[in-house]
Amino acid sequence: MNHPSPAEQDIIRRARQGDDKAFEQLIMRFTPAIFRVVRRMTSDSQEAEAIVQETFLRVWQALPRYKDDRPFFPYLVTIATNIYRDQWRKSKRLDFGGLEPLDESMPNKALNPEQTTEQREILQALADAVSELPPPYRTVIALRYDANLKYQEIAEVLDIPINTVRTHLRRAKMFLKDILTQSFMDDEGK
Amino acid sequence: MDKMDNYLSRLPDHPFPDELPKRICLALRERRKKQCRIRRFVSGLLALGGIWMVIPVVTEYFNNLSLPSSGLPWLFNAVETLFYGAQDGVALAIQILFVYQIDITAAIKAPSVFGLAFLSVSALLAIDQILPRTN
Repeated sequence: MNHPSPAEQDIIRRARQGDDKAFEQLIMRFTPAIFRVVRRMTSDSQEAEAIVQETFLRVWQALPRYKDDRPFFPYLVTIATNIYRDQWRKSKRLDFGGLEPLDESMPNKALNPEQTTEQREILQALADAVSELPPPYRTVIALRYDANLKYQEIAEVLDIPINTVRTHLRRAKMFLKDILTQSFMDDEGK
Repeated sequence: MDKMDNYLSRLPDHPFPDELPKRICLALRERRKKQCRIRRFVSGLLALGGIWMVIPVVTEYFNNLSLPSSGLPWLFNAVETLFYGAQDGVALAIQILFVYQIDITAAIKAPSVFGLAFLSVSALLAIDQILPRTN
């Protein structure tokens, strides 16, 4: 978990004191990073944009209570994840603690043989496969690889035991590996 | 870090909407304006409520105000006493203060207390709007 630089700390301090310009600087600085994480979790760009916007509006309300000893980016990620989870709960019950192992019925994305390099193909196929994961798995992938949070931090953000985080990540990776293996084998068979 | 970890940390990003930060800033300004309007409305409402509650009590108090002796002769006597006898003057001043205190205590009723509270909160909200928030 990276602590903010002195310059960032100064902006955060000024924003906490009610300096609107400083808060807008925070928006400019952190929006791309937080969008990257949220976009990985969500199924479409508009939903991600709405969540990112709501995140900053909530942070603005809560900033006077924000403690300096807490790194700012994970704080943003926590709020964004909570908003995402709340939205999901509205449409469907989302239980981060009790997921069953994924089965063969998961959708499989075929790879595009026209891709120029094999690595780009793999990464694109992997990104597509991630977007097909159930939301809880997608969320842990986004928090681990896009937000670069440690297992303990992910557990805190999602309010689940650290072992559940490990289990979710392991199952998600197993599923992704299966998809990739199967897709490339299919490709070679053609 | 296994191969899968390596791939997952290098996943291609979705296209970033460049105008998003500006849109968020605009939404924030709108939210601020809305809160200011609500605060002004509440402040105005409290001020009006406070005045409405306090005015009758104040009017009644001044109508019923009874001084130690009514009219200008009392004032002349007081001035004369103050000029010509310091000790008597102090005694009279203390007496006047006590009479005023009793009158004020009797005049303060629950509505006026609420009215004063409303006016105070309204004033604080107004001051909060006026004062700069940055150090």
